[in-house]
Amino acid sequence: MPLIVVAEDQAHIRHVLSMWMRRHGYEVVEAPTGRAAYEALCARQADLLVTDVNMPEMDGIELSRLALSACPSLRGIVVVTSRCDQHDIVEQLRDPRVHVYPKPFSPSQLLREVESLVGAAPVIGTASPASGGETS
Amino acid sequence: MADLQTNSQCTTAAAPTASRAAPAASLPALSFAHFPRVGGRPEPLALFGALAAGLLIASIAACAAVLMQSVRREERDALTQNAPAIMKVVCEALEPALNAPPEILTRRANDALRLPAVWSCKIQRVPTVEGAAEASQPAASQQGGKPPSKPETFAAGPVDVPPGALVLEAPLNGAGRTGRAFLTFVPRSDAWLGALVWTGGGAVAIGALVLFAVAYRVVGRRLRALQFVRDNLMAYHTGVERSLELLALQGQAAEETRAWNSLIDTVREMQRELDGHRTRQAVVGSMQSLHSQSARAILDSLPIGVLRINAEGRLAYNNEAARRLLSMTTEADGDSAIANRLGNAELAGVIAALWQAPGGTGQDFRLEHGGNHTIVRLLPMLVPELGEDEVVITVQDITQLKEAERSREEFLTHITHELRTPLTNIRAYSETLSEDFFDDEQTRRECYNVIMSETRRLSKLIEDVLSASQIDAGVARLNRQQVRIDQSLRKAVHEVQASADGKKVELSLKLSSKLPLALGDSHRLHQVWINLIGNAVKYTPSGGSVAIDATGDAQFVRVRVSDTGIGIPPEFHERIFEKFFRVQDARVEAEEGTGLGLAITREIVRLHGGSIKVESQPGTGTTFVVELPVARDSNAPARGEVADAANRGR
Repeated sequence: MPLIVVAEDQAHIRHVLSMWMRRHGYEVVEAPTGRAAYEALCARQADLLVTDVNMPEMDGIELSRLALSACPSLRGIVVVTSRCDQHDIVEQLRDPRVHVYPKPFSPSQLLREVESLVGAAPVIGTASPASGGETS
Repeated sequence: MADLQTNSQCTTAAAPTASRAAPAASLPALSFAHFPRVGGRPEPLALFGALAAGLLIASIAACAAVLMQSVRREERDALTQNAPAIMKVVCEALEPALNAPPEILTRRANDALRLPAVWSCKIQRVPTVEGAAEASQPAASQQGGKPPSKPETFAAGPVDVPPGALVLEAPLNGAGRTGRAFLTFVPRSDAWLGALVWTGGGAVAIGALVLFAVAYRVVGRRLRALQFVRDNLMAYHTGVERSLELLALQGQAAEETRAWNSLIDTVREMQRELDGHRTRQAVVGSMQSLHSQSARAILDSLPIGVLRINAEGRLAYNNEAARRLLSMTTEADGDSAIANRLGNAELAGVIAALWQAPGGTGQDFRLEHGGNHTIVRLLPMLVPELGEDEVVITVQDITQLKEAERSREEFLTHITHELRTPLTNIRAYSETLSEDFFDDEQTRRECYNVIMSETRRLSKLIEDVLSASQIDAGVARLNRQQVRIDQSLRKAVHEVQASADGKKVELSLKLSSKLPLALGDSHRLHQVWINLIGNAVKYTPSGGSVAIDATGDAQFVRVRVSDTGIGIPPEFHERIFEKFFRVQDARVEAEEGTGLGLAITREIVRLHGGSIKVESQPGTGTTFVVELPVARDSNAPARGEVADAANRGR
């Protein structure tokens, strides 16, 4: 089961992303800050990082840069952002594994992006939204 | 006179020069007709002199004639006395040769003419008998045989006898023959010729004297005029007298005087025209100078700097704004090198580049001075009147413009971010509701709650943006009425209570028992309390407290909102009231916020005529103190709209 780390300081967004991915068979670790997300990435061999840009302690750009260098298992990074300088983010990271998604996004479209990166996970049916883990 | 004519011509010739100096239409056209013709009419005095000279010459001639008659009479008398002696000498010379051949007698007659006063000489020889017979035969044979009876005549000199001539006759006896001698005497003295010469010479001398006198008188009179003119001209030349009036000749009716005075009048007229022209030129020059000074004053009063770079790339002009904006030194010792005047090599290089390629759109340059910075926009332009080699560069302070651009970009970034976050939630949870995967009641309820809260958040954001825009545009209006602050605070606390409870933050409200009414807009004041109390709860960690305390006196209602939150560093105590400003702190960034709340709060308080201040230290909490003026007139209408309160509050 592919492991996805969701880094987002906005609880509602983090929650709905995690809920969708879990419902579609992915293992999800939620992180409210960049630092928490990096620790989760280091602790577990994550397949995918879904991250916001503006976060406390460590922003999504720095987190992605560290993850790309420190996590060989990482197959892709999806950056979701409400900033207007999405092109600058791509330029800053300069890695083909990085994909930028603007907010507001559609969870179903984002899910398809995730599936294209790590492959489709077996659907496990109705599951509790609280399933999975969250780092603090 | 010739000098005067020459002067006239010179004056006439000088007229075109004067007309170049002055407007052509302002000077009279000069011609010889302006000057009276001198000469041509005979002088009465000269005529009188000529007549007098004629009479004098006639008198001399008469005297000479009398003298000549007298001389001739004396000569006649002398001749009468001397003629017999001469006659005797001639007879004595002729008588021995009376028998000589005719040629000899003819010669002797001619010789007699050499004697003084002898006019002519005639000799008659009586022929002898033999001689007469010998001589008469061929003559008789030729004339019919009659013997010759006439004597032989030998004459010398003119045949005519002039009047007054003396004729003497004397018999000749000699050499056996007789005859008669006739001598005609005419007085031949040269006295009359001398008298005539002397008379003529005297006449010539007298005529010369007369002519000299006449010429002296005529020329002297004109010379006196010329001398007067010369003296006046020298006085004018040396500066002793500068008035042309005094150069005019007075009391002399000569044509030269009139001509001179006419010349003076013409020169005076020309001088008046020249003075007028000079006055006009001076006025025009003064006006131009005034315009130049005005233009310089206007340029110096402009907020935009102006630099004029000449063809050599040196600074030809800068106005006051340019000096101030670019921190230019004052020009010393005529130093116009741009680098020296600016003291900033980089800026000098930018200006030099703009001077070399003035066709661009200009360049912005950031100037650092004293810890502050100024951003100037240097815009080159070619001014056709200055030629292609000179460039005018305007210097505009765009610091505020750049700041406004930065604020606008920040606003857009902020608004975009703040809009996208609730929109993301609304879209994501709405899509979740529509999916069959999430059909459990708990998930649906959660989705509804999130959508509702994010919708409220969106509404709050829009309301804040609108409020800020209205305040910025000066169109915010206060619906003033007597407001009970205690009720307004209770309502706000009630609304924030749920949030405080959710964060486990203790919320307390303490109201003075005699809290005066405030005059204000209840809706706007509610915004103030919500912003302050909401912020206090937002930035107070769980377990902390927020206390609201309201007191009042005769002038103000004072509301204190204190928390035990994260606090605000002192350097941000003023900036937190700026729009979109948020303290760079993770704990702040973790909370929702537009950065508009405190800016709106301060403006609303100001519109009410009140004040707001902050007391805070990081880690010890924050206290906002709001003072609002009390409603003084208890009889004031309960409701009353104050028009354009925003403008009055500014």
